[in-house]
Amino acid sequence: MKRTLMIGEETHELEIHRRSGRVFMVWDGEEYPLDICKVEPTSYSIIMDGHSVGVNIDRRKNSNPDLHVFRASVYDGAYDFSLQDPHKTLLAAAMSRQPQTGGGLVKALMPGKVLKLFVQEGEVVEEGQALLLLEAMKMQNEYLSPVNARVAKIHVEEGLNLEINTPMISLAPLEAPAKS
Amino acid sequence: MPVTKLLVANRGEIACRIIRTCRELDIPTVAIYSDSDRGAMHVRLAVLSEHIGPTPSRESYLRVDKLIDVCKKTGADAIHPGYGFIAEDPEAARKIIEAGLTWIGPSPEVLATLADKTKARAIAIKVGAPVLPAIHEIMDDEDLVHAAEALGYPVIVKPVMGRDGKGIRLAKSPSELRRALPRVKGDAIFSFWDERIYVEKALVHPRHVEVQIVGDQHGNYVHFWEREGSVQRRFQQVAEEAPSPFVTPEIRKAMGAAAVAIAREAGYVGAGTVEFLMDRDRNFYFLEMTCRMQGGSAVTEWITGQDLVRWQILVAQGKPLPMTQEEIPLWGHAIQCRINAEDPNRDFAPSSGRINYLRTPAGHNLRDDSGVYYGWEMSPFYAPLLSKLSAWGPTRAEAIQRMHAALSEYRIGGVRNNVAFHKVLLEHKPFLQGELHTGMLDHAWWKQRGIGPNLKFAVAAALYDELEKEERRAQQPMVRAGGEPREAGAWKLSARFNRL
Repeated sequence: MKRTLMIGEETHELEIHRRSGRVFMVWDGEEYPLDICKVEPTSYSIIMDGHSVGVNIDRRKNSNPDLHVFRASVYDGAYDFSLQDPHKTLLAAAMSRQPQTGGGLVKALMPGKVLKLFVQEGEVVEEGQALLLLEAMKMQNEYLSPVNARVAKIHVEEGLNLEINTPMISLAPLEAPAKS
Repeated sequence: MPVTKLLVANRGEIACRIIRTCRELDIPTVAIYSDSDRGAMHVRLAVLSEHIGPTPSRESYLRVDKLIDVCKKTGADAIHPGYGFIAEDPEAARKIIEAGLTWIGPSPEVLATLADKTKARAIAIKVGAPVLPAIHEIMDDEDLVHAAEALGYPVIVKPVMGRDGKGIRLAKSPSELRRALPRVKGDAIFSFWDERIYVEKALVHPRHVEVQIVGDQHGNYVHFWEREGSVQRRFQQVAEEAPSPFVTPEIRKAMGAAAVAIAREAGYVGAGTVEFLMDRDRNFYFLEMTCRMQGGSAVTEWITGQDLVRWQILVAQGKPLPMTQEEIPLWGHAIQCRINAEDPNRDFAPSSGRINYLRTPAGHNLRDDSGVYYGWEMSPFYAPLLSKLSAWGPTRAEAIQRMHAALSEYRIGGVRNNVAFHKVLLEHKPFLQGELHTGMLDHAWWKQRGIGPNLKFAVAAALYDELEKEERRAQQPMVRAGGEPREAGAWKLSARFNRL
């Protein structure tokens, strides 16, 4: 089974397969024998080159069903990366799937105070990206962008106290890329 | 005052912690819960549990009338407020006492006096404790900016009735002060229903050192040495330790004496914390008094071997303090990390969701005060605290080593958390050298890290998970590929259609 790994700016071509009862990972052409065992529902114990490391994985939701986004926790911290089926990547590129885009108005769901604005007017935001932090009833809520869009207008500023349903951020649809 | 059945007016980690001591003392406990807390850990630990209202705390955990009703219904004769919620509310304390119940905390009068920073400061000045120069008089903004020149910048603007670091702003120049004043006033009205503010001289890179005290109803006072809580974000502590690596035995004695003098002058009964700021020359200045059990109390309990909740209950029952100052030990060093569901890489924004994996560390001289469990859903309505992990060692270096090792074992899945952040903090050179100050998290230095050395292991697990998923899919009967779908498959199929 092949996967393309994307982490930060890097990409790697990976493969995993079973051969005579053992598991092998191929990392950019180099093969690593893996002794891997599922110890709990989302937790794996791996022995590779004699080193024993426990990894806990979280599959994270995202809008593209072909992109598998992971957060893996190891003793030295968390690793955020995604895996993609290279065949589907090609297919997807061919079909040029556009992620959801659209406009809208983000309103305060509760009365509260704007603690932090994460975006600026004119900025292009992705679905799920944090727009602002609102403190309401002594707790802090992150408001995420529901779509891929451009920030058309910010109606609030940091430190401002808002009533319920106050418009906070207007989002405008992204201009459709020119089709060739 | 009797404490024979105790209502814990709180939730999460602190409620669990109080219930545990009550179990030791054989005092039955009553937990209260809001709509979303039915399955919470504190409900599972308590002897009795009562529903108290909808999820927002204003309609549940802050409803004193409902708390009193639950006491009447269950026969509880005492209320422990924990920290947060009603803990420092003089009105709540008054109503509870008027209902004939035992309030585990200082009297409403003392709470009202110490909540007012101007009055608290006057008490400190009266007993000769050092304070920072400040402007407490009410004047209009321009006069205040003018008067602040005499203090010298930077200055800090705070709500007079403020607590928990809310609304505090730093101003480095007259123009920043001019901008900060209306904002702090706005925050003060919003959070504390009181628009009074005051301006205090700000120390550059001060340390936050606080002294734990307990007073009984017979005028006896002891202090439990100091804690250092300089590692803060948004004026809230994320890691604390005891004793402070910066405080010398002489200063420790002087701070302890000052803290006891302030508590005595205020007529304080119960457990409380006298907070000080300390400059580079080890001069300490009274900041405020926190009139409740504090989040950092575990480190104090480690170095003294005492249980502060037990002391609180004894004091509320009217018993004299069980120890004198000379009998209170100071053993070794303890560190505590607050494990929060928050993202340190995104300005510590809180995270909510279901905890889909949890492995807590275990081992020698380690304590995990947790309020959650595997499968628990973290609500965005409450503080994102998962647990407070503390470790003890004979020296500071050993306590840090132990904590670092424990953090390596701590795994939380499903919510963002600050376990990795705490590990980086414990590797940070200034931290290891004990060079702490309250601004040390102002710049996100912990973020500048490349991809870690265990990437191949992390990816291998995900890749294997993908492989297993693929293999499972290959084994499943092809329901959609025509033919008669099985009975059970019809539902799935219809769901798939509906999703289209």
